[in-house]
Parts: sequence; C-alpha cells; structure tokens
Amino acid sequence: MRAGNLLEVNGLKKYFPVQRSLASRLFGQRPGWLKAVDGVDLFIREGETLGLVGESGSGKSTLGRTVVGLYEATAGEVRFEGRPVKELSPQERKSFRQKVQMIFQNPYSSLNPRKTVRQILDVPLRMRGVPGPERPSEMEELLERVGLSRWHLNQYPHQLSGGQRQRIGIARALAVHPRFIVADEPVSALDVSVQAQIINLLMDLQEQFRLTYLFIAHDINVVHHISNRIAVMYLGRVVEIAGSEELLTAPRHPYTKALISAIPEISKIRRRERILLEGTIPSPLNPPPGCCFQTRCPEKKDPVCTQIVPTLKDVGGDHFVACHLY
Amino acid sequence: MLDIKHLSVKFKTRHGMVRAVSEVSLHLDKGRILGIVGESGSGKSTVLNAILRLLPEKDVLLEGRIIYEGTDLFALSPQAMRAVRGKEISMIFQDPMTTLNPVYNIGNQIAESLKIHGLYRGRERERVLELMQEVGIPSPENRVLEYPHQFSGGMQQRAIIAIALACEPKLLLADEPTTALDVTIQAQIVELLRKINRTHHTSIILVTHNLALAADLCEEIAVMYAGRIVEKGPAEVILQDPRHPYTRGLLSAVPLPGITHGARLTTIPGTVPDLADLPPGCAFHPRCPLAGKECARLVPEPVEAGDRHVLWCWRELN
Repeated sequence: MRAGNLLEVNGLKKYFPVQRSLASRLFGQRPGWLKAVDGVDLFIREGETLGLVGESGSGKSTLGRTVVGLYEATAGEVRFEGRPVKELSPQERKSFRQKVQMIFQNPYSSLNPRKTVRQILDVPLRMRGVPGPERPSEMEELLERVGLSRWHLNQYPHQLSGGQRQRIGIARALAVHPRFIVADEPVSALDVSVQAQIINLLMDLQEQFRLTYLFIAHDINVVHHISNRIAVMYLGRVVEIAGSEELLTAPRHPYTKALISAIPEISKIRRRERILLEGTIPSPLNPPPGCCFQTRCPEKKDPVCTQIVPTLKDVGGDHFVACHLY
Repeated sequence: MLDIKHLSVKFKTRHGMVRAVSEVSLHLDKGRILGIVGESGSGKSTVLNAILRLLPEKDVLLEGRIIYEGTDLFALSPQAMRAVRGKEISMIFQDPMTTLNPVYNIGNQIAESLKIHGLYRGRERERVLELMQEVGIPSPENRVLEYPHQFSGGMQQRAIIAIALACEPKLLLADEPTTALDVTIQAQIVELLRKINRTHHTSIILVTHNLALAADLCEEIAVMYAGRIVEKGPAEVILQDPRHPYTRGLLSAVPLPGITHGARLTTIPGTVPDLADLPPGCAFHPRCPLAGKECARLVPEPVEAGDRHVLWCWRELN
C-alpha cells in the first residue's frame, strides 16, 4: 500500500446469485451470476474526493456498498489504513465501521419515519461512547454544523424538506467522527437550488474534518465540481481514472468521450461535437467477452477488443485508461 | 397555434383551495419548441395536464382560457376533447415504466390511438412498424409483439414517443421525457425530439427541471416558480442574460465544468415554498437577495426587458 492512500481496492468483485426457474434447476443448470462489480482496482488518497460516475447498472452503488462493508466481496480485497478489512479483529472491525460512513441517495427512505431527529442522532453518538448527559449538546453542535438548529430535534422526517432530511443523513454520518465517507448519489433526489446547498455543505465539512470522500453520482457536472479525481465505471469495471479537469477536457476512453459529449450544456458557445452511442448498456447477467464496451464502441478493433479484457494502463499524468487503443 | 391566457389551476384539498398555477400566459407558434423550466412544485406539469384537461375536473377549478388553433379547449364537450387528445395534441410522460401497460404488447399499444381515432384503417400494422422505425426501435418486425418489460428504459421511452406520434399530432407535450434515463440515452431521445420537430414541424412544449436540457432543445423558455411564470423569453437571453433573481440563482447553482470547479456554488437560501401556504406578494421574496418592501406586499407586474423578454419582478421595474 502506497503512503498517503487511505483506501485501496484490489481486484474487487461482487457477484449476486440469480435464481433460475425450477425447471432449469431440475435439468441441472447452474444458477446464474449477476456480475455487478467485476474486477475493480482503485485507491483513494487521504483527504481527497474520488468521484465515481457511470450509468445505471454500471455497478457504482454496489462498489460503494462493498467498500463500506454492507456487501461482502465475492473476490478481491479492500484495504483501509493499510490493512485488509477482511483480517480485522472484531474490535478493530467496530472501529472500522465508525471510521467509514455512508450517505444514501434517498433522504425519504434512509431515515426511519417513526423516529424523531433526536432518536436518529442518538444511536451513532451512543456507538461512539458519548455519555448520555453530553449527548444533547453534541446533537446541537452536529445540527449546527449541517445548517439546522436545535428546533429540529423533536421533528419527524416527514416534517422536514428533502434538503433538510439529507442534512440529517449527513449529521448522522458525522456523529461517529468518520475519516472516510461514501456518498451515494447524495444530491440526485434534490431540486437544483437545494442541491447546491448540500454540495457546499459537503465541501465545507471535508475541509473542517479532513474527510475523504468517495462521491458516487451520475451527474458528471456535479461530480466534476466536487472531485479531485474521477473514475468512470461501465458494466462493473472502471474504464478510466484521471484528475477531474483532465477527464473532462481530455478523455481517452471512447465511452468517457461519448458520456461527456452527451451532457447538455447551458452555454451554446463552446458546444462539443456530440457522439451518439448506439443501443444501451448490456446486461450484467451476460456481459460481452473481451472489452465490456465493445458492443457500443465506435472505435472497436477486431479481434483484440472482442477477445481480450483490457486492463487499466498508466498513460501519464495520473491518468489511467482500460482500452486497447492505448 | 396555442395561446394560454391567464390560466389558473386550483385544487380542492383538505386544507382548502391550493393554487398550483396562477395567471400563466404562454404563446406557441407552429413548429416551435417552448421549454417550461422549474423546480418540483412549481406547477410546470400541471400546466401541461391542464392543456389536455387531464386533471380530475371535480376536484379542480380551472380559470382562464386555452386557445388551440382558434378553439377554446375549456369550452369543448368531453367527446370533442377526446378527439383532440392523441390526434391534435399528445403527451409524453416522465416515467416510461409506469406509462406503458405491462400486459399489452408494444404493437397493440401503439395501434390503440390509431383505432380510437379511426386512422390508417386496415393499414395499422404497417403504420406501427413505420412509427417504430421512425423512433429508432431496431428490427421492428421482431419487437412489435414484445412486451414493455422486454424493452430497456430508453427503448420504452421511444415506444411512448411512437404512441404519441401515431396520429401525427401538431403539438407534442413532453413532461420530463428524459429524467428517468441515463445521460447517453437522454442524448438519443433529445436528438429524436429534435428530428421530429424538424421533419414534421410538430410544435413541442418541453417541461423539465434541467436548464441545460432546455437550453439544448428549446427556442423559448419560461421559468416557473411557485405556480407563476417569473421570466420568459428567447432561450439564449434567458440563459445568458437572465434578469430575474430566481433565474439567476438557478443558473449559478448548477456546477459548470471549467468555471466553478472546487469553488463554492452560489445558492438560493431556503427551500421552495408550500403551495398551500404561499408567502404574500412575490412568492420568491423570502429567498430573494434583492427583496424590498413592495415585494412582500404585491404580486409583481410584468416588465418588458427586451424583445419578447418579459419578467415579473418589482426590482426590475424601479
């Protein structure tokens, strides 16, 4: 593990078993596997934000959940602070779970509707071992940090707006003093004007607490705004990682190029040539052989692209691409 | 071709009458694309539903007039209105998963409006295949008998567009047609809408929360907030030289590559107000950085800011 890396992911795979029909099982067919994450390598440096973009079904949420330990990896390893998470003792695992937190996409479903804000925030504070009498003042401080007030403590989630609920989700994650936060589409369910408030809040908190983020979203403009580096996922694999400015201005992978050209732009002046991709993302139940993007790639070369899986190659300047063209 | 005059929509609720749309006036010429942009609860979808009279009439109070090619749509009988829906004006809804009926095959669903309006008698199948071809569904002969769950999200949305186009409507209402789709698929659908507009001169009203999408497709844009239009004008003007504080706020709240990277985003404080409990005067004044005394008292009057560019703001008047 390189110095300065807080988290490393090596060859991570997460397959979900798919139940086939009774008839096919009787005839001895093996159950299928949905390859949600299929061999991902990446690292996240201390204090940085790594953005993770990809379309629905690309496996970005599954990757995030496997990294924090909500899913058990099928293969590969996650190393946190230099140690493989799998080898942690029960005691260390508890501390890992406090240092690594998650913010979920939908603030409407990730908070228990039958609990008040006070009850929601009480659990993580108790986990951190804050004694009962000190909790109220800690809660007030937390709420203030995320831009809410003491007044919200006795409210239920349904009494809060979407933006306020997401702030509670953030406060809950902060309550255990994490070092690393996986934010899975934290602003996609919010209106534009509220989205900007939450993005600013996440950036302020990062500075205050020296947090490291894995920021998952499908909106590339948002990801670019908040991230130092961006990883692009397609069909369970990372196809390109680069500094966020570099990725937007000089993408290398044909998929990244198409993805970036597809973003509608407000300014009509510097409109990019639009690359329209044919078709849709293949099913992760039955991914194509060779490069995962070969079925839609405008620059496909036979036979190498249809047979050999490309690996991430360093193309210089902290830029990695998994494509046979390079 | 379409003239919306002082449209107001009020819903009867347990908490009394809720005004979802107030005093909306819009004008659309033949072959043009108009965008209505706003956040959730701004009333933008309600305007579309009011045009086709899709709102439950016993719980809704409609005021104002909607003139389509010389006819007042609100004055039509239910039968006459049915002849307009799908044939003259048709609609594309947001969520392809819930718009299509899961138990009918795609071909039947596209042919349905042809049968209702009695068009292409005896040639329905050919017309369905032609439509599927036109909206870019590959190998229509094989897919016409498939069911919605066999289609991907993007293909479902194409099928819905084929349904909407079946009777060659003159006006297409698109309510967030790409919101449920991925960016690369969104780009395909936007190109398709543009192509339909060019080849058939179909007028389009696009409702979206995505300013960039509206910028991409529309010639004119109306920005709505809390049930009212706050600013409208040619797309370039609205996006490059917006005058209303809300439009400006919305534009600066969107991260832009190359401009805002790593910096703090400008935000609009607070949240969208509850329609049942709107602030008096200009509904935006509690969040407005420029608000003054008059803003809290009276609803702003329209101000001409330039050629076809109108806004509703007291600050601009002074």
